Amino acid sequence: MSNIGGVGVTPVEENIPPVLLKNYGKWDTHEIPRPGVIKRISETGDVCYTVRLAMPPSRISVATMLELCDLADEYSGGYFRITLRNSFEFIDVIPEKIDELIGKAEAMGFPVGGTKNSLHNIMACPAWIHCNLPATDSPGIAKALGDALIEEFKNHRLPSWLKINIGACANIEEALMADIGIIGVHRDQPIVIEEKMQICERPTVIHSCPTYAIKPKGKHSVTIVAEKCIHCGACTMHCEAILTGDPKLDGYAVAVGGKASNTGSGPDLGRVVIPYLPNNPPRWEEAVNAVVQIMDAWRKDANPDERMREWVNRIGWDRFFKKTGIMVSIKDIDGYIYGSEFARSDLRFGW
Amino acid sequence: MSDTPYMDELSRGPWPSHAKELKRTRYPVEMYEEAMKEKYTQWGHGGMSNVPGLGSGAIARKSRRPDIISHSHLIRVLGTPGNFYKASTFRKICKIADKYGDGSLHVLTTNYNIEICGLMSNEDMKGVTLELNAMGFDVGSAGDAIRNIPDCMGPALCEYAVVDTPRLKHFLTKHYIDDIQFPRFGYKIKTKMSGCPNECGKAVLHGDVGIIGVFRDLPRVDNERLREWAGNGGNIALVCDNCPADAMRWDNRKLVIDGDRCVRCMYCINRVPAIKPGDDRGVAITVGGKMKGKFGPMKGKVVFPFIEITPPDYKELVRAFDRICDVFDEHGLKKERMGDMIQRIGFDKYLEMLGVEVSPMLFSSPRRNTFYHWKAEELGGAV
Repeated sequence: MSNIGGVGVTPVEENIPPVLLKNYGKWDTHEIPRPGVIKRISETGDVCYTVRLAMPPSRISVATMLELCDLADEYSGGYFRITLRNSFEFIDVIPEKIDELIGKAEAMGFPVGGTKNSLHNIMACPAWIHCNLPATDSPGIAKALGDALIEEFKNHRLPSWLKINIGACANIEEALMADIGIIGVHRDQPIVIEEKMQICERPTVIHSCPTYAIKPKGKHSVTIVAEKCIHCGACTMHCEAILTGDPKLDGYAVAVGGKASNTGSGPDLGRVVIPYLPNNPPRWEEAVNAVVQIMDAWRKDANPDERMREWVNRIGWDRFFKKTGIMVSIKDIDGYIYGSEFARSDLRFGW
Repeated sequence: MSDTPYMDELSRGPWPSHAKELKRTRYPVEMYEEAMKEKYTQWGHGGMSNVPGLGSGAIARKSRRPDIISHSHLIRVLGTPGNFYKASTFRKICKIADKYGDGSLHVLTTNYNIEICGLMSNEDMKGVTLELNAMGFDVGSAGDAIRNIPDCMGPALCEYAVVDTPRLKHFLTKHYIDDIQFPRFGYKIKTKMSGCPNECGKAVLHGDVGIIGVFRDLPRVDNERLREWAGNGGNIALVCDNCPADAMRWDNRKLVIDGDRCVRCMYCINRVPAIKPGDDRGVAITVGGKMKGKFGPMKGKVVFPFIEITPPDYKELVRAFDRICDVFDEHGLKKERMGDMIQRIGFDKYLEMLGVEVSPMLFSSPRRNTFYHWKAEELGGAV
């Protein structure tokens, strides 16, 4: 058994093309000749063209990956990269063949774009494809959104870049980190299957609950105090005998303004602006409408080079709701641990 | 009439479709179709399984629909440094996925691994791992261990990179491979890296430990090149206006950056090719970023504002990382994320446990809470 694992990852040199190795750390500047194509220029005068494709949300077949490998062999010397937003990037494409490559990729159904002031690739978790806890289907929403916003992906028409992440339950990290995030929310009471409770570690389950809503019951079982539950799914994660989710009640929330970069006002998590929308497969009209509504208000009002969060910080959250036309309700106010931080103390209203 | 009307609808349209992809594999499409019909997932409880002989790397998943499929497991493959791949290498991964799994991949997951999906037995998982090991790849990133340590492309292709993240990833993965493949902690430790404060790796927002390249001196300005750039239509006035710290003064000949104001945010460096990051470079370490867990979503907190990067052994960085893991191992409760642990024991006590030197770089403002517990030894024996 000693010869399994313990290998680590491949050395840096093994998977990068020679031009990158030669110019390692010497890259000087870049240009974007057309959406989806980046020309990297080195101090030594070498250039490296990259071509970026959108990827299907969450799952891709081996057959398609092999076709993309064939394209890489033909046009970029066999090198490619998966970006941190999961788009597929051909590295070091032969400049004369870029148009041909784009033609072939688009014929295969992979749009080219997602650079600079456009919609970047949409990130999604597997959700209904392979998970037990989702309240909504992220790949489905990602696909519906991608279809609706395809022109934003292919063109540089937005004030700044727009990143959309989708997480199907409150545990997925991505959703609060994008300009617009969609997060699955549960609203039902978790069900305890008492006869199965013996297989769970009761202390772990009880202390996993953030609001102390789980109390011991009898010798092996637990009971859940309905009024205290915030539907986070923590108990379900740790115990097979507790089930969360109800098809009639599940849905998703929309958050705005997450940002990782230190430019502008610095990194921050997004804020929930729409507390609940119902699941409506396969085209998720409510999600598409909400995203378009927020995006259009931002596009109309933002200064050049102003990301969603910078725009909101400039105009204030009160004007954000006015300009987007999103309904405000008591559910926008945080009653959890950050409540006092997010209440208003200043009187600088935007009437 | 088709058996899968929902998936057919999702196969249409210009965006790449996961439904179309799933149909090209041996994935049980009824599971996804039923989920959309019922508006509810058809998969059951999952957990961290282990590859025989290896502590972490596999995820087991039961099904709620034994009439369609009984279970389906997956293996997480650690991504390469910078996530660069050679087509010939990736073809081998594809071949392995096709041989053992159902022919579907998740490229990449939210922690930047490749998942080989649809494995049915422990023998399959072991087979996958051994074949991957033979080609220099490894599995991991599941369970209560140090997870995959993703990085940005760094100096391989990016002009902003302050530190060499791909090489750092290679080093850290090799150094901590035992902790990556054996779950010894109370909960997972997700570590993320970004080469510069632009934070493409989102280390502050979702890294239990975030390692971010920073520089301490001012951005370097090449005035001659800047004049040329401005002459060719570069809008330096807009850049000066948008500087969040209002630290830039441009008099049509020379750009002066005010050292008392500059916050090293990278904005001007991103916009103007004549401005480059400074030379006094290192990494900052943040801890406690997360979504899941008791106290809800949290941003990371800076604990080491500047650590020098010293290849090949990265001594200071390893010492800091070890310290963070040790404190978490010692004080974290079972299934308690690092951010929750810090919230529970208090950030000041946590810093004392880490043994870091207190500096103004560690907080955005001093405390406003006037209640404070003084220790007996601080009172000189008066109590």
